[in-house]
Amino acid sequence: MRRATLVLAGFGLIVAAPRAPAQGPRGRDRMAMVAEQIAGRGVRDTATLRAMRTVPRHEFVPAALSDEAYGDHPLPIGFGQTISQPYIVGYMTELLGLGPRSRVLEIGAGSGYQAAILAEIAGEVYTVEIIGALATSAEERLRRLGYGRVQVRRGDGFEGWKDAAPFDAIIVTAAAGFVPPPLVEQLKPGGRLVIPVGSVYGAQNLVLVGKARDGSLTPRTLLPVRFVPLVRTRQIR
Amino acid sequence: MTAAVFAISVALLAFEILLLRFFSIQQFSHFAYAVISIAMLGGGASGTALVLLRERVRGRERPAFAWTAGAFVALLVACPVAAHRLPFEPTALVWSGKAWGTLLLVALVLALPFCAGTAAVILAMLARPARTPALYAANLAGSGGGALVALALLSARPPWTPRVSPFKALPQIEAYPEARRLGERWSPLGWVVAVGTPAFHHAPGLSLAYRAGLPRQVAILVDGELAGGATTRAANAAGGAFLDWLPTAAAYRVVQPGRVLVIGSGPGLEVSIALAHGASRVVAVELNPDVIALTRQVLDSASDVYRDPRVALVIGDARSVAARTPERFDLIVLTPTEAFGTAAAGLHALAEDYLSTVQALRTYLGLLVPGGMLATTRWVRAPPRDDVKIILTAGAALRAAGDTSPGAHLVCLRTWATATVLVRPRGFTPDDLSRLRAFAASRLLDADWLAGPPPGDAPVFNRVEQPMAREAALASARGPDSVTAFAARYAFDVRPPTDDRPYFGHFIRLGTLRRLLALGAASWLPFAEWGYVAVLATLLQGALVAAILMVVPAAVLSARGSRAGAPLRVIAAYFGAIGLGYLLVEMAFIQQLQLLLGHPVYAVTAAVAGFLIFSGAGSLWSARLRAGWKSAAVIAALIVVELALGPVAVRGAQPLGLAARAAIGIALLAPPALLMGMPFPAGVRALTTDRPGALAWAWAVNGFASVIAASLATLIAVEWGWRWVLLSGAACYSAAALAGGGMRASPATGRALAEGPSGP
Repeated sequence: MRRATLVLAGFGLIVAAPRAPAQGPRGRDRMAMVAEQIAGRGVRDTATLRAMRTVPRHEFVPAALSDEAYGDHPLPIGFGQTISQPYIVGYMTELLGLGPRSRVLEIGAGSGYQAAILAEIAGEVYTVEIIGALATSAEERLRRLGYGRVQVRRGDGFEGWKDAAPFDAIIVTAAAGFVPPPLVEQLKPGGRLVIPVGSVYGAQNLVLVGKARDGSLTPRTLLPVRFVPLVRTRQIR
Repeated sequence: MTAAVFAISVALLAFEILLLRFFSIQQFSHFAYAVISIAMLGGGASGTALVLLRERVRGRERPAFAWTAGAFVALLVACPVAAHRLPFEPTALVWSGKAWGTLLLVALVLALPFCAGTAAVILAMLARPARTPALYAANLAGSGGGALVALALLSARPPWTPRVSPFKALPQIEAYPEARRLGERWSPLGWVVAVGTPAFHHAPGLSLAYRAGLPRQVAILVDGELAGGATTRAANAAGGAFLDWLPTAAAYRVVQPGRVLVIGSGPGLEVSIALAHGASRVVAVELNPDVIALTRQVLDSASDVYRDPRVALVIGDARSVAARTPERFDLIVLTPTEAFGTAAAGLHALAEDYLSTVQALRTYLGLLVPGGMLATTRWVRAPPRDDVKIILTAGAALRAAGDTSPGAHLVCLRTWATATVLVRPRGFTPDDLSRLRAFAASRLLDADWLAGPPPGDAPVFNRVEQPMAREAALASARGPDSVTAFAARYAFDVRPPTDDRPYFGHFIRLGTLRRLLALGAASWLPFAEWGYVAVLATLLQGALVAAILMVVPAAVLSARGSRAGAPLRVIAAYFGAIGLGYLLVEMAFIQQLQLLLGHPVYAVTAAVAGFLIFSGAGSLWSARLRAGWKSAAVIAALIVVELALGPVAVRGAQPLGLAARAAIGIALLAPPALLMGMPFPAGVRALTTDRPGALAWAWAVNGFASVIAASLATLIAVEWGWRWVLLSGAACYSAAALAGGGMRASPATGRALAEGPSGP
C-alpha cells in the first residue's frame, strides 16, 4: 500500500518534472524523495537539497530494506539504531546553516548517511559513534562511496572531539535529555548545535542551540513540520 | 473429567499471564492488549470450530475431549517455541507489509493453545451436560488458580534469556564500550537489570550553563527500559556540583531544606539532590524493592544514598504511604512515574498513573507543613503537552484543597528540555520570587509563571513558538471553567487526570487522531503515541475477526440446524451481553484494585483470581439456587451500588497494609463476581435442553464479545473514566436480563432460564 503510494508519487513527479536530472541508480527515487518529502515540506537550503539528491541513501540501509530506502520513514540499521526519516535529515542539515568551509561534528554516526550529507556541504566532517560495529561499518561505507574525508571515531559522544574543536556546527542525532557540557565548549561562538529532545525513543522535536559571538546561548524549540497543520487547524490561543 | 478441566484451566490462565509478561519484557507493554485478544480469539475460535464439526463430534464427545486435551498439552509447549523462532519485529510494522504477516502468524500460533484448551472445556460440557455447573466451576476456579501459579512463576528467573527488542534501552546500553551487566533481579513487579559503562550519563534537564563533568553512573533498567541512573559518591561530595544544576534544585531556593519526601525515588537522584541541599531528613518512597536492592548492590557503601542516616526508605505504593504517614514535609518531590526513561515516548500512554492525578496531588499538598512546597518536573515537547497537563492538574489540586487563587501559588520554570512546576499553597514572597529569578537567569531557565504572568520585558532564554505553559497557568488562575474551555480547545488531551481517569501520559484526542494519521502515520506516530493506536487497532481487528467468525457459524446453524427453541439473535444478545458485561466489570475492578494495591501486577492477579474463583462458586451455586436470567438484573443493580461504594471503601482502606488492602479489595469484588458466575451456566443449561445445536454458537458469541471487551474498556476509560466502564457493564447485564426474558418466548428455554438448571 505504502509502496504503491510511493511509486505513484514518483511516477507523478517524473511526468510533471522530466527535467530533473536522475543521477545514478535509484536517481528517480531520490528526486521524488527530495521533491515530495524535503522540498515539499519547506526545506529551502539549496546545498541541503543538492546533497540529498546526490547521496545514495539506498547504500546506507541494510540490503534487505533497500527497496524501502527512499520511503518517508526511518529504517532499522541494527543495534536498535535507525537511519532517520529523510525529512528529519534534511531539516536538521538545513538548521545547521553550513557553508563549504564549515567544520561539523556529528554525535551518533549510525549508518553514516547524515555524515555523507554533511560532507557534501561542509569542509570538514567529524563523526563519533558509540557502537563499535556501527562505527566500523559506517567508516567502511563512507570510504567506499567516496566520503573518505569524513573522520569516524568509535567513542562516547559525551566528550565530543576535543582535538578537532572548535566546530561551526554540532549535530546530535540521538536524544539524551541534556546537552553534554563538552559539546557546548566545543561549539564556536556564532556556531549552532541541533539536538532532539526527550529520551532515546521519545525524540519528538528538535532544539537549535545558537552560541552568540559573546558566548551566550540561545536555545530555540522547533515545531516539527508534521505538527504545523495540527496547530493551525485547531487554533490554540 | 472435572479434574482435567480444572488442570487445563490452570494452565490456560497461567499461560496467558506469562505471555503477557513475556511480551512486555521483550517488546513494549501495549502488546498486553494483543495478548488478551489472542487468548479470547483462540477461545472464541474453538466455539466456531465445534459448530462446524458438530455432526462429526456428536456421540464421540468423550474421545474428542481426550484428544483435544492431549493436543492442548502439546501445543502449550510447541507454540511458544515456534512463535519465539518467528522473526517478529513490531517496529517494522511501520514500513513493512511483511511484518504484518509475521504479526498475524505469531498471533495465530499463540492462539492455538487457547483454542485447544477452550475446545476441551466445551467438549467436556457437551459430553456431560448434566455436570455443566461443576465443570464450569472447575473451569473458573482453575483459571483463578492459574493466576496464582503465574504469580509464583514470575518470581523466578525464566529458563530462557529474554530476547529484548533492540529498540529498548537495555540492549542499546549493553552495546556501549566496556558495558557490563552488574546484576539482575526477577519479580512479578518487573525484571530489574543494572548495567555499568563509562558512557552512560543520566541528567535529565541539566542546565545548558553547566560546564563541569558528570560523575560515573550505573544504568538501572526495568523490563529493559531505563528507570534511572545510580550515581556514585562523587555526586554527593564536591563532585556533586551538577546536582545544583538540575531542575529540581530550584525548589531549594524557596524552602528551607528540612524534611523532604521523594515519591518514586528509584535509583536515588532526587534523594541526592535533597541531601546535597542540606535536607535533614529524606523519606524516599519506592514501589519496586528490586530497584533499590540493585542500586545499593552496585554502589559502594560511600555512594549509597540509602545508607545515609538522614534517609528513610519506604517500600510501597506512594498513595498508600501518603494516606497513612503522620509526618509532614517542607518539600515533596514527585518524580514522573516512568522516571524520564520512556515517559516522553507515549509508550505508557495507557498505563494507569495514580501518582499524578488531581486527587494524588491534593493528598500530597495535605502532607506539607505551612509554607511547604510540592515540586515536579516533566519533559517539554512541541507542541507542549506534559507541562501543560501538570500545570492544569496542580491548579485543580489547589482548588480541590480550597484555594481560590491557585495562580498565586504556582511557579513554572522551563529549560530547553524540561518544565518544573512548584506548588506552594502559602504562596511566594517577593524574596522567594527574586531568588527564583536569579536561579533561572544563572541556569538559562525561563520563568513561564512566577505566581503570576512574567513581566513583558522578562529575558527569554529558550524560545518556543507558543508559550502554552503560561496560558495553562492563566487558565488555572481564572478558574475551573477556564481550564475546561482551555482543555477543550487544545489539540491534545490535557484534561487534568483524576483517579477515575488516571492517564497522565495519554495525549491523543480522538478528534485529532484522524488529522495526525492524515499527516503521515509512518513519520512519527509509532514512537510517539503508539499505545493508543495499538488499542484502537486491536479493537477494530478484534471486532472485524469476531464479526467474520460469528457470521460463519450462524449461517451454518441456520442452514442445517433445527429451528426449534430460542432464535439465534436472542441467544447472541444474551451471551454477547454477559460476555461483554463480565469483562467490562472485571476490567473496572482491576483498575480500582490498582489504585488500592499500587501496582498493576497485584491488581490483575487479585482481580482475575478473585473474579474467577468467586464466579466459579457462583456457577456451582446457581444450580442449587435455581437462579436464572434474573441474576443478570440483580448484577446490574449490584454494580450500581458498588459504583457508589467502591471509591469510598478504597479511600478508607488506603492507609492499611498491603494484605489488608488486598482482603478489602477482594471483599468488594466478591458479591458481584459470585453473581456474575450464574447467568452463563444458566444459559448453557437452558440451551442444552432446548437447543443444543446452538451451544457452540453461544460460546463463540460469548468469546468474541470478550475479544473486544478489553480494548473497549480501556478506550471508554481513557475518554470518559472508569465509572462509565462500570455503568456500561451494568447496562450489558440489564440487556442480558431483557434478552433472557426474551428467550422465555420459547417455552423450553424460557422455563429453564427462569427456573435455573435442575441440578444433577
